[in-house]
Amino acid sequence: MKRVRTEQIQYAVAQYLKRRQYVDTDGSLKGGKLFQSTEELAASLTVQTESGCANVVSAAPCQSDPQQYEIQFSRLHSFLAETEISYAQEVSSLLYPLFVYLHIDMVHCGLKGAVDSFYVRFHDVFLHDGEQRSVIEQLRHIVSAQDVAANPKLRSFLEHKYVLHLTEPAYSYLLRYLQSEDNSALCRVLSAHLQVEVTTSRRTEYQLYGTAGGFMAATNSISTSWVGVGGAEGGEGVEVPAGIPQNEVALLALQDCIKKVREGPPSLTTICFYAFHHTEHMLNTAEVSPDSRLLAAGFDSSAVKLWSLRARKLKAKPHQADVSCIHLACDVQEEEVDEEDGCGSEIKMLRGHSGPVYRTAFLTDSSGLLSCSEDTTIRYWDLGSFTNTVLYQGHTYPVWDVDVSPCSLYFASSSHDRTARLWTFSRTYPLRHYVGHLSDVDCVKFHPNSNYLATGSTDKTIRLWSTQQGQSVRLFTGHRGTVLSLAFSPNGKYLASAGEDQRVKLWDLAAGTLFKDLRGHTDSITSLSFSPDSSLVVSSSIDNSVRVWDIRNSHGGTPADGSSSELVGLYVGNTSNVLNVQFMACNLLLVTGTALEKAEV
Amino acid sequence: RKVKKEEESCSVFSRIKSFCVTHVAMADREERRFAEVSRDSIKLMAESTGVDLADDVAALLAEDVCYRLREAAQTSSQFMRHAKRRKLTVEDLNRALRWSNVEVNPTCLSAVCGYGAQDVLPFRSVKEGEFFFVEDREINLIELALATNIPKGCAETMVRVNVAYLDGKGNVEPQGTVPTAVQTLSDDLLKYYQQVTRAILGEDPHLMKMALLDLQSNSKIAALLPYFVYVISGVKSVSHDLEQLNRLLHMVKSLVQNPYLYLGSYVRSLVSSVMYCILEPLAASINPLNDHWTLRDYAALLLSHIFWTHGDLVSGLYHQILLSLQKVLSDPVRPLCSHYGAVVGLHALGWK
Repeated sequence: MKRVRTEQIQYAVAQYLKRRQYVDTDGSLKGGKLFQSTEELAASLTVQTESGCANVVSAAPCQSDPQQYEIQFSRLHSFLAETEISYAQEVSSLLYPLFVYLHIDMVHCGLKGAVDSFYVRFHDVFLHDGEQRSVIEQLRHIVSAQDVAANPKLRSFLEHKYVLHLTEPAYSYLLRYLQSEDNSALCRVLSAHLQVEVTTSRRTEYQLYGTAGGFMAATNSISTSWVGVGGAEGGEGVEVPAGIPQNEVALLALQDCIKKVREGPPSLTTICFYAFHHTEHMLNTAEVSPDSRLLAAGFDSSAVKLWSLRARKLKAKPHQADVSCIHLACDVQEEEVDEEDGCGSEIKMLRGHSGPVYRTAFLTDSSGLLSCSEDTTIRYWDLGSFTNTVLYQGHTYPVWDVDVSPCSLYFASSSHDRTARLWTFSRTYPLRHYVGHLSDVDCVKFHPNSNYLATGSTDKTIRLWSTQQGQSVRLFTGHRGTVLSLAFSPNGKYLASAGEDQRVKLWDLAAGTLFKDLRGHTDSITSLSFSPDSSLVVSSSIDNSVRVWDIRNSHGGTPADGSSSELVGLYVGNTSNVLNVQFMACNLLLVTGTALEKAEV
Repeated sequence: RKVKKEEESCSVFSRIKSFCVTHVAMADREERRFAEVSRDSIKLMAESTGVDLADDVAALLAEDVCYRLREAAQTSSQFMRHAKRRKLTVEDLNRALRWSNVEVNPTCLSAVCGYGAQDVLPFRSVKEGEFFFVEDREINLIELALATNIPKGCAETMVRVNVAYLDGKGNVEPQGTVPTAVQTLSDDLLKYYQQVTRAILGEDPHLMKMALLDLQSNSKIAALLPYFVYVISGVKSVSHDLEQLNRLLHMVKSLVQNPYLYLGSYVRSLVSSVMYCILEPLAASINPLNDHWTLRDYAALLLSHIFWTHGDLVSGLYHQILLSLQKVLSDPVRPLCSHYGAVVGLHALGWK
């Protein structure tokens, strides 16, 4: 059956070729086999490898004429020096081991005169590299075979094969040269003492700026269109022959580059400004959630409004109780409520407070929102159902600020009653009271490790409290006005504070002293934020400006308006008031504020 | 008598409140001496209500009144500060008084001491009595009611977004322009770009690892983002080299995992490069020995990772990805590897 099939196939192929008018169709296929048995395959493969170029070289006649060494070596050396082909440089790495082995061989044969002249002629080629030079120096003192045996380095040369890395084209280039003339001595050394590791050809190299860099000249390069920049310097100029030293050099260079960039100036910052229109001066606070999906704003009308910042609308999940609505007996239209929730809306109004809302704070996973108000209560809003689910009572005076701890385990509030209180989400009464300020506490912030709490007050001081113990552990004085805003750096080292005295002060927490005092704003500062890598501080103020400061280094000279030299950016928007700044990533800043109304009084 | 005195002081106090101006200077910032109400003024006000006060009583009252005025000013400025305003309104003062428990006494109508107005109230002075008063002008109600100009109602609060860019030197670029950051890259950044790209696409695995690690954690490379994205978009030209493709995918992963970088609109370009790896019949896949299947698996996982972490940045990304995957799957002309890629991609995105 098989034979029939084969014939059928042959016939079909012949027909096709005839149709296509290929000549000599009949003759060529008669003897052609369309399949090979595995033994035949193996045999042909072996034949191929055995008769390959490499083996021709290694099977060269074994007797060597030491006189020839010098001649052949010099021929190779001058050939490589004169040629312009790029592989030459790779192949020249072969010269060093060749030299050593030939020298040792000549010593073994006892040809003192030849050895000396050989050495003298070529030894200075290898004096660049330290390691090679040391070996060359040692060679000078070798006069007999015993010396070779005595020297450990040279002995290892003889006992082990020297490994040489070459790419495929370079290797074939070398072989072609060896075959072209009588290089029996070189061939013998190559086969006996050297092991050539042939690597596959280099991959296509991306050309970064349109000029070929150093030794990376590859066959297919892709030129780019970044014309404006000057050509890449052939920085990796001096070729170090294959081996470990090259990689270390590259490693060090890379590390150095990385270090420079990390210590350098900050990069491009994108500012996303959310401007509120038509607020009638009722907007007190606005904040974006950590996952950037929601924008919450607190108003004097005691409402909290939520905007969705994504394309998806806000849909309330089914809920049981909604304290914002009171159902009277005549409210029978339940279908309407379902309809509204079905399609969702862009804005959600959260009602529950009975006084102006002074602060909203999102939980770290954006699943809930806390708001504090003049009505002395703090309310928790569940962001799945958009209803007020918990009421926290404990303060007796308006609550000015609320902050959530980093893992959303606790939250703290500060109030007109001169205290700050610590709460947990599962209890409606406070767990700790932080008493010590002489006047009302305007702002409160948790340290990134949740063990400390900072409060700023109208008595112009900042106190650092231990969260668990409740006592004051630090007192920072120096401000000349009410402290309105605090921020901790994410690495936990610094505390930034700012307020009515228009200065941003940075405190070093480990030392307990003032680290920096930044000038520049012309009106009281409303909000502070650190960048995630703790290198930038941004402050916003009622003077409609947002300033970015680099606290690691000061760049350049002092700006003209007398600001501190740490200022790296100034953004003035079309606003009448900037409420809040938040860093979302090192290059993204979110700013909220009241837009400038056209008919402004 | 004590009760009576309290009543008197209350009424006197309410009189004083009616003299308050709507714009109060910030008492705690500018002054160093406290304003005082003199005994004579107290006596004068008492006389106007028909009460005759002795000197010492007037002195005590003066002190008390000063203190309460200061307290009211302080508290009302607190309300003003937390509302982030510069103008003290009557509401602020009302609240301050409420919290000072002044409204406890029901007989004196001090709960509301005034209504706010947008215009400044003009005070007229009277030389003889040395005091000021607010003029009570007559308003023609009929005219007001029948007036044709309807005052503007207050609109709903709404939010608008503006995006601006601050370059490395702090200058704001005009809105709407894409930042032309090419000329302003510093030498260090340029060198970094060259070195890192070479390390990743080169041969030494140690260097590559170091470069990738740094891409993942360096906070100052935002300006180089367009450059790296450009390199990654060169996937199409190396479709024959699996190793390079793999490395480019590693690069994408590092950039996406960097917590300090905001990718913005570059997400689209990255996603399209990754999709290319998943869906296209690569030149490398012609040789059956090449394992491009693992590459597609890796790219699919990466796609899902990008989508779930950054998918919200670009609107409609989800639908776009789904659509292209679906199109490939339903097209019978496409080779097996494309179908495989589409299936793996859909699987990796999850059942949602």
